Amino acid sequence: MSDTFEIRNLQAKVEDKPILKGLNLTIRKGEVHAIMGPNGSGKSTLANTILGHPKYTVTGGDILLKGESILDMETDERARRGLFLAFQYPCEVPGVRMSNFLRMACSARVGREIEVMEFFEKLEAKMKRLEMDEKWVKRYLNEGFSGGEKKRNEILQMMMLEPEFAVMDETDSGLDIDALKIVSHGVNELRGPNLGILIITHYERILRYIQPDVIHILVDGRIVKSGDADLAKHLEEHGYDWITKEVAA
Amino acid sequence: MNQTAWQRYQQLPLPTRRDVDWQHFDLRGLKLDNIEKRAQPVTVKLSGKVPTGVIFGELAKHRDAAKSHLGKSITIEERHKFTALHDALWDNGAILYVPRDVRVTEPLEVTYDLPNHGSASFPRTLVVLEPGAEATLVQKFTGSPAVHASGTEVFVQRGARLHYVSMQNFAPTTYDFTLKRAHVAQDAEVDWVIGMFGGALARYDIECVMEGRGGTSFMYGVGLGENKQQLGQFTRQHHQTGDTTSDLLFKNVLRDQAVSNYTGTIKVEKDSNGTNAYQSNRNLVLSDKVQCDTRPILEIESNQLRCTHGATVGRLDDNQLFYLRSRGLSLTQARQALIEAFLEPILARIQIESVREEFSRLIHAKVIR
Ligand SMILES: Nc1ncnc2c1ncn2[C@@H]1O[C@H](COP(=O)(O)OP(=O)(O)O)[C@@H](O)[C@H]1O
Repeated sequence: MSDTFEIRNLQAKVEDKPILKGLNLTIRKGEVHAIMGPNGSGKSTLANTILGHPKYTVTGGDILLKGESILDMETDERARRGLFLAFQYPCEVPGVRMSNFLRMACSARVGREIEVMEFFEKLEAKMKRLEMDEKWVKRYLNEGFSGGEKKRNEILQMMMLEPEFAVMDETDSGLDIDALKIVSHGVNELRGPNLGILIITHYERILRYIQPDVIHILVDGRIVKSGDADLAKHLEEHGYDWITKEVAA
Repeated sequence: MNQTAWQRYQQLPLPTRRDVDWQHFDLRGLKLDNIEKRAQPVTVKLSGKVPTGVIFGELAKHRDAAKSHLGKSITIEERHKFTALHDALWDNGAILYVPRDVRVTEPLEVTYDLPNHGSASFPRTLVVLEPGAEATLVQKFTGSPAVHASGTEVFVQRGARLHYVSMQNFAPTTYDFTLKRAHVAQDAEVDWVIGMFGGALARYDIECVMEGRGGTSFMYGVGLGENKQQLGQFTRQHHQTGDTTSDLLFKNVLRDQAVSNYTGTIKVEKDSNGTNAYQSNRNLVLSDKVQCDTRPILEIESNQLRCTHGATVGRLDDNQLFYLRSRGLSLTQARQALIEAFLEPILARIQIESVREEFSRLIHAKVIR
């Protein structure tokens, strides 16, 4: 129980439109799961619902982090308890300096004020891994970053915050092949017994670099099929049509 | 007492809500009876290293030095009743006079020690930078007078540069009427940052008059409103000559039931080609009960110029809040970070660290709670 992130029969709506229709998923620490699905199947809704975005309303089911329901927790409490979302479209926050923000976030995560020196040492090390220029920390959070830079910045935050379960929403979109390699490399380094990862993606491409243990296919707000890496290859070759037909049948 | 100004003050009616410039304001708490008897002498506290030749002191003690410029900007023609009141009753204040080509490297600071409850005070400030001079002036107003009407006249002569930071943090009972006007000569530059923090009502008239080619004025302002504070900002970028630049950014953070009105005039006179005039007013509103109005006025009689103006009234961005909170920042921390971020472009203009920190502290105390 203390090592699992569990979604039970989750139902959620956005603006009165039901999107998730009974989704079940259990991730243990150390595992990497991927959810693939066609556009509109509810992938982003799932990611946002897990972190409690106010636009998305849970209408049924439960989400349990290490055995405890998080549905009544505010977004920031979920984060402090070890949940992380790498956003599909990280927003720009002009005026908030990267370094200040990250130090605040890291302090919140560990529940104590982190010393400046300690913080910058760690930050520098992580940035080096992601081949990020030092100048980044002086910039405003995501302001004027290219799509690829924003995604890399998400991984940097993930490395700094050391979550227990991380959801990565379409992390590969907008990345060129070099950036994808760097990002995947970063994620692979994070893999280990203390972290469970859920990769949400439309395309199979990222799964060539970050190999998942389990692949799930999401159609119309439900997981309709789960399997190993072969499933991703099959999708790559045949698209999503066969599975939607199978579901319809 | 200046009798002519006093007569003008008495002739001008008390503004009402029918007056477009005053429509948002409630003046019922303003008590003007026996105002001339309630006026208290102004004393100033000065600090900073003053190089030889530079005059930095009480206005009353330097009448001779002041003579050439005093009253040349603030005149009987002023538009509203409270400037006339100031003009009628002011008795002292501060003077900064920097002679030709003298560069004052350290900031000079003047604090107006204003009297307390029930009284009235009318400080005047005169700043003259002769050609080629440079100085940094910090001006601070605090205290709890019932009525405060002040005037600052600034003359930045050819090629001179003035950096000017001014802040007001009156008690929540003070009615503050402030006029600041800078005359910017050829190739001269003034950059000012104005903090408008306190008072029951604070009405600011802030103007630059661009008189010589190559002149530049940067005007930055931050206004805060909490509880039932009323804030009025009337800015005027007056281009009398072409090839001049004025750049203005005023940002306000308003909460509770604060009332705010920004009116920004850009006036470009005939044949002032090559004028650059930029104006931007941004308001961050933190409660449903805030009243916020912003209005640009363009009086442009020249056609070869660049002029932009923009105004926004907005709230904290939900997506930004969610993003920050998804990293563990509490709602309070996330709001704080976003309010600070909103004001960052203004604070970044303040070069003096201790003053920047003071702005920051006041911002925290008033609107980041
Ligand atoms: N914020 C929103 N407002 C309105 N509709 C939304 C919103 N987010 C998602 N939807 C709708 O929910 C459905 C699922 O969307 P989404 O979760 O983004 O799917 P995916 O990420 O798989 O493409 C779509 O029909 C989409 O139009």
